[in-house]
Amino acid sequence: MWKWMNQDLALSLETFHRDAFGWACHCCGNGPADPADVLQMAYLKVMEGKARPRNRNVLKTWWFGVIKLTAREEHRRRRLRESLPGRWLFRTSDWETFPPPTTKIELDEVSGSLKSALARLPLRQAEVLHLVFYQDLSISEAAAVMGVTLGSARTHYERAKARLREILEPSSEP
Amino acid sequence: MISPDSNDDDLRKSFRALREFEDKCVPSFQGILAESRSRMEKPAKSLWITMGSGVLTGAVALAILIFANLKSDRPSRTLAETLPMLLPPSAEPNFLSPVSSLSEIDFPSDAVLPLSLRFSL
Repeated sequence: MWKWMNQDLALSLETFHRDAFGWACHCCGNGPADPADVLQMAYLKVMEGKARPRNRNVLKTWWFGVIKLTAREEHRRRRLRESLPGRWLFRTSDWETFPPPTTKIELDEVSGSLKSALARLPLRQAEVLHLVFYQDLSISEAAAVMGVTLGSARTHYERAKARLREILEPSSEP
Repeated sequence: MISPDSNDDDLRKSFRALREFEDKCVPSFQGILAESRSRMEKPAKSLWITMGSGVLTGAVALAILIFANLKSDRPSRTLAETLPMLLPPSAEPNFLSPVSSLSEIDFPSDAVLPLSLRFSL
C-alpha cells in the first residue's frame, strides 16, 4: 500500500516528529491551515512517493522543506475554498476529508508575545529565527531549509535578531 | 558549519518556552500516519468535482469554438455568385453571362437567358 515509505524512513521521520510539528505550527502561523493537517498531508506525500529524500544525510532539512511547501499549498487551497467561487465549487464540501483547523495551542503571555512578534517580522527573518532558536539548527542548515545561500541566511538572521529585540523590548519593560 | 552566537540566551529562552507549549499539542506519530493512510485510500470529493467541472468547461469551450468556425467558413453568397451555379456553362460565343448582365446591364429578364433556353410563346 505504501508506495515508497519504508520502515527505515518511517523510523527516521518519527524521531523528527516533534520538531516537524513545531515547524508546521510556524509555517501555518495565523493562517487558515492547521499544523496537524499540514503534517498529515506531508506524510501522505512521502507515502505516495511524491516526496523522496535524495540524500539521507540531510533528511531533516529535506523533511522541513516538504512541510514548508505543503503548508503553502494548504494555505492557498484553503484561501481558494473560502473565496466566493471556491464556496460554490466546494459546496458539496470535502470537510470530511479535509476538516477545518482543530489544533488550538494555548500560550502564556511571553510565548504569545513572541509568536505575535514573529508574525510581524518578514517571512525569511521569522523562518531563520525559528530554525535556529526553536529547532536548534545551524545557520547553514537553516539556509538549506529556506532555500537561500548561507550569506543570505546570515544576513536575515542578524537583522531578524535586532528587529525581534526591538519589538519585544517595549513590552518587556515594566 | 556555522553556529549561531552564544550571547542570545534571552531569545533562546523565549523560544524554548514557546516550544514547551507547542509540544503539549503534538499529535501522535502513529495516529497521524494512520489518518494519512486512510486519506490516501479515499480520494477527496473535491477532486472529482474539480475534474468534472474542468471537463464540462472544456466541452463547452470546444463547442463554442467549432460553432464559431462553422459560421466563419460559410460566408453569405451574393446573387451574382449563386447564379452561375444554377445555369450550365455554355460554349456559345454570344452567350451572355448572367453575372455581368445582372450587375452591370439593365436588360429585361428574358433577354438574360441564352438563346438555347428561350421558348417561342
